[in-house]
Amino acid sequence: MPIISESVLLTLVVALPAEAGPLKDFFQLKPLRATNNVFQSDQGIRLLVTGVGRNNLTQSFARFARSEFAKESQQVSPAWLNMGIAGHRELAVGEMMVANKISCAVSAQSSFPTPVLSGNHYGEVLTVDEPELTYPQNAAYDMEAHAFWDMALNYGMLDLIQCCKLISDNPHDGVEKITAALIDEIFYAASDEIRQHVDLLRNLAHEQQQLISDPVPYLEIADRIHLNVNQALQVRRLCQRFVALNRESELEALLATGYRSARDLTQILRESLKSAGKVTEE
Amino acid sequence: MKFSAVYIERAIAEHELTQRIIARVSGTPVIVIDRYGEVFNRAGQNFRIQKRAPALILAKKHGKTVLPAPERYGFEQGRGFYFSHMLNCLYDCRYCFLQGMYRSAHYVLFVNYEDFMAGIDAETLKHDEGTVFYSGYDCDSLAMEPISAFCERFIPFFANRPASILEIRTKSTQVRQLLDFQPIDNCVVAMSFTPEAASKRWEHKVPTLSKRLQAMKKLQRAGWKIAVRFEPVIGEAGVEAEYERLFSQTFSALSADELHSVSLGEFRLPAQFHKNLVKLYPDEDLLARETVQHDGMLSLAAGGEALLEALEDRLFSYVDRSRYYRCA
Repeated sequence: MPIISESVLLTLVVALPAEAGPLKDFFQLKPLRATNNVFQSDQGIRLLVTGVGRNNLTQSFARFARSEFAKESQQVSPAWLNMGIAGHRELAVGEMMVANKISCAVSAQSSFPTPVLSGNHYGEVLTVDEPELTYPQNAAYDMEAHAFWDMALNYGMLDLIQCCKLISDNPHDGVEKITAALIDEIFYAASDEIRQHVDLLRNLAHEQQQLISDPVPYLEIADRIHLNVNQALQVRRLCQRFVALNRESELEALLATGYRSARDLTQILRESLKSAGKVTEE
Repeated sequence: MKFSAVYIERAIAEHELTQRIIARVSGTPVIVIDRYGEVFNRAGQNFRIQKRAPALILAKKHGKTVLPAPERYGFEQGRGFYFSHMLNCLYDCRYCFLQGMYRSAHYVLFVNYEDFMAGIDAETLKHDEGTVFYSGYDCDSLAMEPISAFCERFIPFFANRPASILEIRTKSTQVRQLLDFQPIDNCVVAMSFTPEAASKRWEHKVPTLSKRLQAMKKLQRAGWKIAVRFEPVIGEAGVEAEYERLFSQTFSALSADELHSVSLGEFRLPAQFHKNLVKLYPDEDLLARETVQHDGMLSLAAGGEALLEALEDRLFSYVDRSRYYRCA
């Protein structure tokens, strides 16, 4: 069942407009107002097109994080996926590789995405500042992944920050052969796998967002009376407990009887849970 | 046994057990790391997400390998110690403290068993009164036997140290390796049980009660010392009848007179762990129940002394009191 979400669950990050094109098509992404590099759907997916290289990506992220759209939501998005083309010594053009290690050739630092995505090929993505023509290591060479990882950590859930690369060049088919048409072709050829990764990440993000969302009875209470931060936390958890214990109707009845203050309400809810907490043995 | 990936610390990449495990998990992506902290328990990790597809991490245990066991942890007299050759468990029990202890659900297997063995020998030498070593505090010791070769290595080791006792805590039915050995007198296999309904509800991926009882029966028949741990006791309406049924099932499958020991222990865990569990599972009814706190430990309000005493009364109609202790 498609997820309709007002909030962004997954942000896709690509460097090139040619990489963005097929993704816009797959996920019906429309330009976000007053931007030319951010696209969004009503199914919780956003696409950020950063430009090539670590600097462009970092600046793009920073610009985006300062934007109104990012400020509108509490968390920019729980899940982040860097997709894009990369060169590889051994993999054929068009193959997709899921990153299980992301390294920076300049700093020699490495990070390890949680193995959430499954695919046919896994391996290291090595981020370089200039296109790599000789493929000295058994890794996918790209120009953004490591910067993506560092930036996404500020905005997403660590386990839901992922990266996968589509192979665009190798020792047999060099970088000089890469064209917008080739990129388009390999993205469309990998559309099933891309959709699979996107769906999984979006579902996991949705699940997480559901877990941290406020219980409905709490929202109604918060609408009616003023709660300070501490009271809000307490009432929220008390409502959550009623819901988890499948005692929502009892909660509704308690709320209907009325209460004088937040303190009074907390006391009523707590007492009710306490009295029901005692075991009744047959 | 499937893992989403296998991480290997560079320092133990050539270790014989590492090599053997790699051969067994062919097809699984292998990633070399410097220290297991790079992928385990990092800030911001989420146990619940990782539990969907945990990875195996092969690492070296540094520092102290053997630690003093909590008071009243086991039945045996003598100095108690525990050692954790592994962190985290194949199973997914909703009440398990491991979920509150670690942010990561990956399995860490410390392959340098030789250092654990040296630690065990060192503690044994220090204490004349006899020593007991508990395994399975931070993991299930048997569940991953085909990979970990835990029994394969530690049973022969303890066979040569009759003055030290090994207690293996488990919910697993992986007893084939044990059955391949001659039973040794100083090893106790302790299986934890909850009533069938509770097990179905909260002990995800754990073998069924009947399969576990069958495994214990095989061990008992083969001459192994076996123990039964009825824990965690989760107090709720109808629980006494549930335990009556569980006791009856257990002691019709196993010979009570030949049991090493039997214990009861209530559901309790450090308050901070409970808080972490609630964050992971705010919608879980077990974690929404009323609790009481003593000395930083949290237990369910529905339960406590009265329930344990009632269960003990029922238990003593099956088992001699001399074999019983109440687990802390």
